[in-house]
Formats: sequence, C-alpha cells, structure tokens
Amino acid sequence: MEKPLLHWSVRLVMAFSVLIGIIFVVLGVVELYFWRHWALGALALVSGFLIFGNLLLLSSLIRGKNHLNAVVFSMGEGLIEVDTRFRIVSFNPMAQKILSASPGQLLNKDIRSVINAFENNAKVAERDHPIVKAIGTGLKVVADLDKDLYFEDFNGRRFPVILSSSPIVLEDKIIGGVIVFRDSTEEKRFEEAESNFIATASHQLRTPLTSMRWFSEMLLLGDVGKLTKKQSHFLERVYQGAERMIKLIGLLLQVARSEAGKIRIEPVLTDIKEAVENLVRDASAKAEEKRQEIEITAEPSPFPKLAVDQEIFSIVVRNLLDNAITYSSKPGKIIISLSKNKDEVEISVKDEGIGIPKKSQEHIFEKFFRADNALAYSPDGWGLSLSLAKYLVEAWGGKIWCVSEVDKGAEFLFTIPESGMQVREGWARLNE
Amino acid sequence: METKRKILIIEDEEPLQEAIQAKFRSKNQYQVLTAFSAEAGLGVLVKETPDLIWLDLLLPGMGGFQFLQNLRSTPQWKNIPVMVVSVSGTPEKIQRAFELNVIDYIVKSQYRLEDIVKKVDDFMTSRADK
Repeated sequence: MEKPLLHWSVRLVMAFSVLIGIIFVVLGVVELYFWRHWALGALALVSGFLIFGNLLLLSSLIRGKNHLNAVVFSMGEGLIEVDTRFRIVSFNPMAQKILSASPGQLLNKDIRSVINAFENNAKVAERDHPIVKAIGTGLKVVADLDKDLYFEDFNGRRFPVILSSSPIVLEDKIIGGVIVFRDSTEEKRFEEAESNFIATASHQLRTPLTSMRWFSEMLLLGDVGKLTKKQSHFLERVYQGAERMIKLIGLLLQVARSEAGKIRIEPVLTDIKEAVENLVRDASAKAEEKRQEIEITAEPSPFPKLAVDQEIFSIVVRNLLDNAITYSSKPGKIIISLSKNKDEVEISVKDEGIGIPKKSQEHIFEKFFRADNALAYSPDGWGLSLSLAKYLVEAWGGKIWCVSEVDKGAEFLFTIPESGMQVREGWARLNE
Repeated sequence: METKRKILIIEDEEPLQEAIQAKFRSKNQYQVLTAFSAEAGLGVLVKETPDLIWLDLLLPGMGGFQFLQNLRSTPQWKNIPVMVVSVSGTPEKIQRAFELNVIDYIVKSQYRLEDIVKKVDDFMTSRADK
C-alpha cells in the first residue's frame, strides 16, 4: 500500500490545470469585455470553470482515497489483499512488520506459498488456508484464540495468530480476498498464566479448608475429649462452613473454566441411560430424605448409545436432578426421560416442586440469579449450577430450556446432537 | 504384644500432616511414620518397610508420581501398597495412579478424615485375614 502522499506527477498535472483554467477565464473575460467576441468569450469562460470544477472533483476523490489509504496504513493489524489467483496485490506496513518481510518478498507472490499456516503443529493444507477458504466459499473465515492457528514469518519464527479473512465482492463477483491478522503471542501467554492461576488458586484454597474440616471433624467426633452441647453446635457451624466453601470453590472453578470457553470435551460412546441410573443412585439418599420418587423412562428401549463426555454429561444431569430434589417441598415424583427426535437426543428432568415464577424464567440461566421463591425456600444456593449447565450444553452443541409453573413444578430439558457431543479442544478438564 | 502395623504418611502440608497423625494416634492402632516430601519418604523407606503408604501427589521437589515410579522400579519396595490422597483427581491422574498399582485414589477435600482412615483400617484388616 503506497504512502498517502500525492505523486509529484499528479501534483504537476494539477498545477498545470490550474494555470490553464486561469488562462481560459482571463481569456474569456478579455474576449467579452474588451473585444466583445460573445461566443468565443463565453466558450473560454465555460471551459475555464469546467477545468476548475474537474479539479475540485479530482481533489476530493484523491482526498477520499488518501483517507482510506491512511487508515489502512496506520492500522494496528496486518492487512493483505490478494486477487483470485491468490497473488498478493497490496499490504500494509503492519503486515510487513508482523511477517518480518521486505516488500519484494510479498508483492505479487502467491500467498499460499509465502505465508505458511499451522494448526496443532501440522502445516495447514493449501485448500484449508484461511484465504483460500474465504475466496472458495465466498464466506468470512475467522480464527480466534481458541483456534490455535499459527503463522510462520520470514525468519522462520512461528507465532499464534488471530485473523479474519473475507472475499472481496464487487458487483456480485468475487474479485479477490483480504486477510486481516495480528500476532496473539501476548494473549496466549496471558491465557496460560490464567489457567495456571486458576489451578493453583483452587489448590491453595482447598488445602486450608480441608484442614479446617478435618480438625473440626475430629473435635466433633470426640477424638480429643468430650464437648459440651454448645461447643458441638458451634463446631458444627465451622465444619459446615468449611464444607460449603470447598463445594463453592469447586463450582466456581467449573464456572470460571466454562465461561472462559476452555473446557475440553472428549466424547466416548456411552450408554447414557445407565449413566443416568448411576446418577440417580448417587442421589437416592437425598431424594429419600425429601420423599421424592425418581423414575427414569427411555424411548426407544433399549436406548441407543451416544458419544458423550461422561464427566460433563454427569455434571449437567446431576445439577438438574439436585435442583429438582432441593426445590421439591412436598412428597412427589421426579421423572427423567430420554427421548430421540429427528436429529437430536432430548433429556428432560421434571419435578413437582415449587416451580419458577414467569418473570424469573428468562433469567434462570444467568450466573448468581436466584428466583424469589427459590431464595425464600432454600437460602443456601449460589445460583451457579444452571448457568454452568447452560455453558456446558451449549459448548457441546446442544440447547437447554425450561418449562415451569409456580407450585406445579419445573421441567428442564436439554439436547445432545444425534452424532454426539461436539469435540472441543481446551486446556482444562472441568474438575482438576 | 503384637507389633503394630506401620503406615508412612507423605504429605507436605503441615496442618494436614498434623491432623492425620492426630487421627491415627487417637486410634492407637498403627505406628505412624511421617515425611514432608517424596525424597524424605524414600529416606524413611531405607530404614523401615511400612505396611501402607499414604501419599499426597502435589509435593515439592520430586512429586508424588515420580515417587511412585521410583517405588515401583525398586525390587524391595515395588509391592508396598500405596493409597493416594490428593487434592485433585482428574480422570487422567487417577488412571495414571492405578497404572502404577495404587490400592485407592482419594480426593481429600471430598472425604471426612474418619472415612479415609476407615479405608485404611479396611485395607489392613483384609491384609491380616490373608
């Protein structure tokens, strides 16, 4: 991309035009005023003004073009334009800087051979090069931080890159493509630091809480002598507080990781009905305490196996089931049903509990949100488990929603694509 | 008098180490050996052969997995039972630990100390029966 200055030849032509314009105007005035040659005078005058008009038009065009050039020239991102044969037509200084290239190394070269892209340490095939895809499909191609796309500069240094690549369309025809990119080394470094931070923080928080929990437990069990009723009661509070904090840290960790979109999803073929049965067994003590009968239905039976990440699937079902039990105020039934639609599997957890007020339903999946009746009925909740469930379901390519009526119960439904959960690369498992 | 069974506790967090020792002392069933690092644990093993090792994984220096590998590759130690009691339990770590032949993997924040000690008791009893 040339510098936003006027070329000397353009300046010369413009200066010459101004001169001619002035001569024509002067000539016109002289013809008219002194010699009274009406026709000639008028012609000269009109020609003079026409020249000035054109000059005005030209200079505004140049200004517009220069303005655009200046914007592209000073952009913080690298920009490269190619034609339909992938030859580099123009580029800005930032592109040159990021790639450590001289202008000659880029101009008129085939972008597929001068800019190598890598994904997972393997060279990206020519047909999968972002610019080739953009021109080939006519659609914008975006690679964000999660994509783990790398470019190699002219010194052979590989660096992570964030880019967007689009076809250039003129009058419904693709005439080339443009790629805008930046070096994301800093962002990557920050992301890694963040992942270490979360893991370390959770370990550092859990250790003292575990010791609080263990020591108070020993005191409560009378390991070091009998306690008075009041002492026991106070200690019970300490013990429960520590236990609650341990759970909260686990949950916050899960939410932080999901929210950062960094959860790894590794689906394997699973009998999900059996997985649900196991979860129901785990919850049976709590269900019995609240006098809830849990029923599992599956249609068709036997229910086909499905590729799911068991840990993540379990967390979603466990959270929904746990809520169903918690928010059931009277003895009742909880039904978990598995069904198969055209292209997805639908799982529903339905209770006969306190339900969700209409006005709260649209907020129910928001972080820390708790409906008024839920808050009154069970003040201890955190309002995190549903937002976590939503993150996870959407991360695997499913949908989650709820149907409810106050005092009648709530039904939470979610889907998994028939082909299974979408695989996701990421730096963390949900629990670590 | 019957000689007490020995248990080696490898745990670097001082408060947790104290809690575990106190718990075992109150039961007075075992002789408790302690180490605050994997290296110190190996040092204990030179002199003593415990009936069970209680092993934390996140340790300064060598680390729990390296300790386990050393243990399993040394003929006189390779059959010593190990119970992992760690703060984190990813499926990968659990699998790796079981490949190194541990008898159990416990995520410590999820258990009461009483219940972990119960697991130790059960294991020791099952051993005594044999």
